[in-house]
Amino acid sequence: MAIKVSSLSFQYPASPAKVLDSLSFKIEKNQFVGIIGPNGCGKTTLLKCLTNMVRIQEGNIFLFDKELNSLTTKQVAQLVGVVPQRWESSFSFTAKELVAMGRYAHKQRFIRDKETDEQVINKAMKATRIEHLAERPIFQMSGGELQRVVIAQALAQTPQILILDEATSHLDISHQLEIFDLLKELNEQQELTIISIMHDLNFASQYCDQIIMMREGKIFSQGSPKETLTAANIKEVYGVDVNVVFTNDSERPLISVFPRIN
Amino acid sequence: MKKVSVVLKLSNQKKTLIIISLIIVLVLSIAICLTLGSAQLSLGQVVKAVLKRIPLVGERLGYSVSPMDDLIIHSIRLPRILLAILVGCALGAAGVVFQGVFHNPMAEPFVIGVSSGAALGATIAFVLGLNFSFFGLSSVPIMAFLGSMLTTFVVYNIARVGRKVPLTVLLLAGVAVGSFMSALNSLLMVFNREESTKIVFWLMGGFSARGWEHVQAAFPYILIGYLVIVFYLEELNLLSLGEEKAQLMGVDVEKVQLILIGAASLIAAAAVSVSGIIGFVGLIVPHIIRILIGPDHKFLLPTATIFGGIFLLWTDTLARTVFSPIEVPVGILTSMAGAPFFVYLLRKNRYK
Repeated sequence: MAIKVSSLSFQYPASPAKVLDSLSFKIEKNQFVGIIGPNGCGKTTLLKCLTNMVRIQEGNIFLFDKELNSLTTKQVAQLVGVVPQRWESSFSFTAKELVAMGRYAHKQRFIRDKETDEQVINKAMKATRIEHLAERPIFQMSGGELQRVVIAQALAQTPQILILDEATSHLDISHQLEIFDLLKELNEQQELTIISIMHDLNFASQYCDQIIMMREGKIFSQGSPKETLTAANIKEVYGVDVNVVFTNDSERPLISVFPRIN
Repeated sequence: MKKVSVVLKLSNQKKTLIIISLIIVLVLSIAICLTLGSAQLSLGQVVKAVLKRIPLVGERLGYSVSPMDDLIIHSIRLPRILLAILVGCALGAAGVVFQGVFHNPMAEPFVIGVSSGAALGATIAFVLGLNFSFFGLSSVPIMAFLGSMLTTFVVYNIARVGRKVPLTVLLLAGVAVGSFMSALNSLLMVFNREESTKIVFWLMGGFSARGWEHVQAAFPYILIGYLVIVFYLEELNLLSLGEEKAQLMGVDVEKVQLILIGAASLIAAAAVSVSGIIGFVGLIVPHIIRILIGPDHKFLLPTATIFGGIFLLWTDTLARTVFSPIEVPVGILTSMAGAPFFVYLLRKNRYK
């Protein structure tokens, strides 16, 4: 079991309502999981809870059977790597410098294992195909290149779980495909558990083993794409009418939308 | 929009070479600046006089140095030069840390109240005519140091929410407390006109009439603060990517932030208390060096430290020689060079 969440509730100090309201779910190892739901449904807050960025008020979170609250920041970083929605730096580090920083979670003061570090860094850069960018400062990179560097940095943490927060939402479709193919490859070859917050339902359908559909701080539906991405569910959660069709793959629905005027 | 900036790509060996060259430049600068001043001394005289004073080595040298030369070099020029270097190093290093922790190239030690607190402390010492001394140091630098540390503490605690310190709030709190302190400062000056000339000159910052006691007083604090920073360079690199990123990569952000801001404030406060307010060094030095060798703090910190020392040594030498016999407070020169540079940075960053 990679993640187990039981009756998790969270409320920001200043807000009147709970952002997350007694959520319970499990994520098995080596799964590709998509978290979907309308804006403001609590997806990003859930992610913050899972990475200990905020203190949860009720409930429990377990990462590989260890209670999250009992882990240090470093221990969490050894288990979970995160790729944020968009990350910008004020300083133009090179790709290699950034990826190397991913090793921090495994370093102890005055003790260096340069060989392992170097191996892991090279492997991460190879997997994300950024070896040719190693010495390039990030100010001279495109959005797609930078996002691959950030993924490589997370991989250098050698995490068991990789969490992405709409990591491709500002990229064009070819870069989106490239990143999701890469994630699928990592998921299959390196047995990485992947949890991705997604807006594009078709991407979620095509890549995920499991989908967690959220609404107003609660889980509305959890299951395979076929089970969760039904026209009725989408109508209920997003309030839009869509057409759900199955083409050659009967397990992965295609969702199409229509203009509401006319 | 894509950020365009000049970034030189240098290998780590080249960066190390730059650091070594800067150390050589620093040593040469010390020798040259020792010869400059109202009394003309040759490089030979200077080298001889300095060597003669080195314990164990000096006694074995078979020449003698005139008492006058010895006085000028050892009691007047050398402590002043070393103090200028020390303060320059401190401000350069503190600037690097503040810009890294705030992941903002516009930050500098004075934004969180180090300077305004020091100014108020010094003013109070002048106005009350405080006349105590501590380890050979007079009341003004001591009060400046206390004012500086106290203000930093107040600003930090205003901005603190639980264990977190949102950086924008910290900067705004620094501005607010800073203006309050400046107002108090002016008020004190209005009611104590006879002291105001002294205060104004102190505020302008400089090294005239500074001696060994100032070097000895500031050095331990600066050294301690610096060693702490060196211990946390790896974390500083991660913090410069933003707090959230740093935490997700395993840094105990709140703790490390507190330690680094504390150490950098200590360094800056120690520097300001013996020099008065010397603006913009902490801002421009890290900037120039970052353009030169990149943002990796393992190289950025030592390079900016040494360069800060060289920079302030030469500005102070200019300040005491160019308009001789009138001495210009060095703070005026650094601000005259720094302010236009700051404007240039603002313009350059506008379209990002």
